[in-house]
Amino acid sequence: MSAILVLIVVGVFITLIVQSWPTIKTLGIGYLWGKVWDPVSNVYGAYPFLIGTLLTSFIALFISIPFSYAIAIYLGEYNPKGWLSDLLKNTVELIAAVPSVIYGFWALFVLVPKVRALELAWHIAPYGIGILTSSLILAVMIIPYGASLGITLIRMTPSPLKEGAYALGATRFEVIQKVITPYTRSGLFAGVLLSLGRALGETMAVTMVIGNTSALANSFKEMIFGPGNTMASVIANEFTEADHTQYLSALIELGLVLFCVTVVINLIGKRIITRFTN
Amino acid sequence: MALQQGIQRFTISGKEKNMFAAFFLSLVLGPVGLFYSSVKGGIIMTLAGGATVLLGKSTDSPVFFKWGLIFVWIISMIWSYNTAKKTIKNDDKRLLFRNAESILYKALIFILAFTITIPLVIILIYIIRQGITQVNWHFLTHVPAPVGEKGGGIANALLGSFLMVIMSALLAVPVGISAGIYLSENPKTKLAYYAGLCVDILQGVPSIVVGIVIYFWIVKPIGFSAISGSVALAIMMLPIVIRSTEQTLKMLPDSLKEAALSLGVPYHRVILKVIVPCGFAGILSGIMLSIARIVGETAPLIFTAFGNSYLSTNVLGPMESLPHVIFTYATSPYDDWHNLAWGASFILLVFVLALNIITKVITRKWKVQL
Repeated sequence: MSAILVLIVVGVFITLIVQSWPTIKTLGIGYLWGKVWDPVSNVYGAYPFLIGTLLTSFIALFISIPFSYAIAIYLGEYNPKGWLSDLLKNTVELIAAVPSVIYGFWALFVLVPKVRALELAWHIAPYGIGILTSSLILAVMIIPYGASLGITLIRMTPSPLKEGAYALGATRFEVIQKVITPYTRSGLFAGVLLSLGRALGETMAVTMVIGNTSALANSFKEMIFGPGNTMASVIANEFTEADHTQYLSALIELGLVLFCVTVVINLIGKRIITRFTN
Repeated sequence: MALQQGIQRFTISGKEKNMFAAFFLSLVLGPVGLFYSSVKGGIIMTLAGGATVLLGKSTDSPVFFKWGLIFVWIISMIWSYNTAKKTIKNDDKRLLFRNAESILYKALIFILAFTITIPLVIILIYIIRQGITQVNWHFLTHVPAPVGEKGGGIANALLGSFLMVIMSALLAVPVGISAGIYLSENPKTKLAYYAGLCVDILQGVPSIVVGIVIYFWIVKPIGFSAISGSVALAIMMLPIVIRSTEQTLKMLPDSLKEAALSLGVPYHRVILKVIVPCGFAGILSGIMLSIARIVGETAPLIFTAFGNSYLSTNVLGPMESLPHVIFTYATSPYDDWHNLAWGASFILLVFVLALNIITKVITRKWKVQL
């Protein structure tokens, strides 16, 4: 039965490669930095989507890191037991449980007008939808992954280390800053990697709020505040409309890139964690 | 003399409030920060500040509003500093500074950690408010009406989600449980290593990639169908079921298995009749968690099950599902379709949250380690 598992994964990989073979053959590796995506005239370049994916994921990551770190420290060090910590823990787990379409739907109707008003106040083109909005909703969605991993790791710091520091007269903040954080640094980094892997592959919430523009932005401001596209959202939008094989295999190649990148990131993260817990 | 001074220095009498922390807190939070050093002063100053704001708003005079608030702020800062300073016995400035750092860091962490509850509460309340007005018996038993006509519901989506979830569970649960049993029984073989690796990989694969692959495996031969959607969802269910089965069975004491084996029970009976029933709660929570996960997944279903405006039970044809109907109707330009989507989101949210809460209750009651 477990052999079926291995077969499935290998099958997934092979199918992705086989189906994107036409584009790999014709366009080669330059596909990854081609800047124009024009299915009508059969010109494909994945660069806008790479930029969109990287931008949304990394901005979401930077926004979410302080919050997941704070939750991990609070639940791991300050308040491991008790009703308040149970409440916070359940809230964090509920955030992870809500389906992503619901996040996208809420963002489309509540967050987008607010961002639009903000952009009006800052004299930027008031799209409302765009890379910034999708990064915001992504940040809320990926906080639980880093936080729950961080809680487990911070609780695993050995007590003798902490007690030694307290015995030498350190304050609580100094113990956290100088004992716990260096000890769990690699584990927390793995948590960040896992959040990143989740953010890279997130499709639905991003598709609903990102504006779906397959062109490169002209200025930096437009890149952040204007609409864009990520690899996952372009697949979701254009897959059912791909009529010729070139188009389809270009999209599949995007799926292949997504698959490889998320697999690598997740495996590195899990490897760091297993090495940490042994 | 020195002994008396020493006793005076290190006796703890009353609670010591750090004056730097008190000052900083009332600098940032104003009269509310005064609560740290003195509750009485905090109440007085907060009421004064509230009165200033209300007076300023009603008389519409900026003098009262702005200058009055600044006045209250400064009084709070001075008050908090002085009250805190009186409680300090040991005035070692460096130690006080380090303590202040620690207290303020705790306040910062507390605030950052609990801000995460705000978006969740806002989202939940908004969806419940928008959706609960939509849900009634008509909504649950009719198919969507054409645009412009009143009424309509999401019965096709409910039936479709129900059928597809049952089919995925039928596919994924046997494979998942047996793989989990294998992984927990033989953890050191090469197959276990590669299977574990594949479970990790599958857990991280984006759901849309799974959808693409199932498109080529199943949709190309037999067309858009609910079966292809179920297979895609089953592949996404597998890692969660396998991991939870493996961990539950690993936590069971070895003595159970050894006792059964020593009584002469054949190996397959040991697994089926002794080990699995013991770990049943953990396995069940794993299954429920995975169902809660896949009932909300849209991306694999966009080009496998494809969606269907009619009530259909034909599993070899396209079928609608709850998350897909939310996605389609939310991104449409019609207001009554938006309302249908809100109702569907409400039902989906209630279902997913109920499953998660039931799982938590089971794990706590049966003391399962997941």
